[in-house]
Amino acid sequence: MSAYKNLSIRQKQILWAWIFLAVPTLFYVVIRFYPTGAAFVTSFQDWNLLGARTWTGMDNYVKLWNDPVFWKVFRNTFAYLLLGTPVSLVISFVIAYHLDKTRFMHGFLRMLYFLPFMTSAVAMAWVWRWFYQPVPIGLFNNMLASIGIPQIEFLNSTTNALPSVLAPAVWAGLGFQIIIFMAGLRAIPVSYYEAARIDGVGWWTVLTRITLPLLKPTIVFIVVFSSIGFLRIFDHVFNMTTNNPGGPLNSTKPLVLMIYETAFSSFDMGYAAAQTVVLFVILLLVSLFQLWILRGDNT
Amino acid sequence: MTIASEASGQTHANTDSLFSRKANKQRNMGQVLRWMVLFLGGVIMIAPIVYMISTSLKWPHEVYNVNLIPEEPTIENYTYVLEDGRFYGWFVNSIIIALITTASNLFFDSLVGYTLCKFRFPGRQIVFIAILSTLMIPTEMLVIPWYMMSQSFGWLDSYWGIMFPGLMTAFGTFLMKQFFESVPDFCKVVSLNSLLEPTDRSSHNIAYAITYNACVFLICHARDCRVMNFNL
Repeated sequence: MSAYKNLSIRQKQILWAWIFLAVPTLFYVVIRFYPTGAAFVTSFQDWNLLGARTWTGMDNYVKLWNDPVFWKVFRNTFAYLLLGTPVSLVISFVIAYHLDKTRFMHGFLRMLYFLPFMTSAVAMAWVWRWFYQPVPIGLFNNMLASIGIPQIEFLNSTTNALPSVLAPAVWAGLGFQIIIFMAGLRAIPVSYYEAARIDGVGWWTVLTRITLPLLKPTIVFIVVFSSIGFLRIFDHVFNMTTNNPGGPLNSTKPLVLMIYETAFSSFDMGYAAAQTVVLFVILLLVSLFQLWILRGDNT
Repeated sequence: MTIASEASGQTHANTDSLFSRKANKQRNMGQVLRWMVLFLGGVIMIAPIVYMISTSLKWPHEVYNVNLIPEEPTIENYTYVLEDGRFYGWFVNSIIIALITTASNLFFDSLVGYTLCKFRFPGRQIVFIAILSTLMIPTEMLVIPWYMMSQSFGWLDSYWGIMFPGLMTAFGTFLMKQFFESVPDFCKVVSLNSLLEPTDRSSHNIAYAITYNACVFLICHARDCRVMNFNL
């Protein structure tokens, strides 16, 4: 005890910091980093989960490079990212911006937008699949028919299937992004707006010169996390296309679904591990690129 | 209406006199319009959920009918689920897992987030980056090693075997750290309070509100991810 009393405040702080971090550090090393290392090792092996592991060097990566399905899946994954992130970002900002200025029944409106986030993809995929059906039973096609627009093949067409699968994913994530945006908007000091009001500044200038620049940390947060989410999209695709996961003709298959099938349908663990390593590299590069772009701007 | 009206109405009171009645009226019209559009958007947002509830009250032959109101409403589906005993077991499983992982996330994520935010110690940046980097690791990569770990620890076929990967999340830690960042330094506030008589209540309230919000996010997030067994 006397040894503790002799420590300086700074030394005490260091001691306590590491006491707090001891268990979590152990957890992250054992539950996250050790399995990651194991996956990297497996990616250089041939292993069917039951038999012995044999070293095959770069074979799995060469096989992946020459796999046409992989390149299709690669394009799909980026399609999810490049469509999903900007669309959900813009929609959630517009809603949050206006919701923030609404006082009447504010909590009720916010609840309406937040509710989809709390539903599970498994349950809602059924409703969405039903909405996408052709005319007698599908809600969307019924609405189109009533205003005289020809039928749209939502889930059965190779070109429309991907956006159709993406829509419920965006829908489900919107509530969370809106809440985060509103928290960001609230954090902007009122004095800036008061100063702008006294100077008689128009709303567009207020938005582009005060709100958006001060909202930058929030925007960085949402862009990075929603990108990670869209690059790792799986449950919405898997549940929307249960009869033929990733179909039609692999047109909606994201990388994670390919990994899932390689690992748990073909039991080709080495190949699946190589795919996860590729996904890891993509996630890392995309996140670092975004952080670099968004941070590097005006600081 | 060009200016964000913050939670209090006092900003309005100060500036209302600057505007003529006409401008005021126009502003109110704008507010009504904004409210209506937001409400409409909200209705569209919850439409799939409303349809899900409506379908749960329909007989099988009517399930693929686009009518929102069932022709002959029935609670048959609910009584079926409740009489079929398995539902309770599944529900209890979900509740137990949700409660324990949420409690664990709240405790550890806020602890780590707080430590990384408010303490200065060697290795702080490395720990933060290491935890954040686990977000990039696809869960699929970890599932097989986790299964083998559970096997060797004898956790197979137990709650523990499902829960252990999600007891702490990098996402929650990051969120907590971000929120603590906007909280005035606890240590400083506390030490000031002990020195000076007028207590800085407002900063305590802000800290409380922000922590509370962070906790609500975490609960929702933990629940969503755990059920899907896809933890960030």
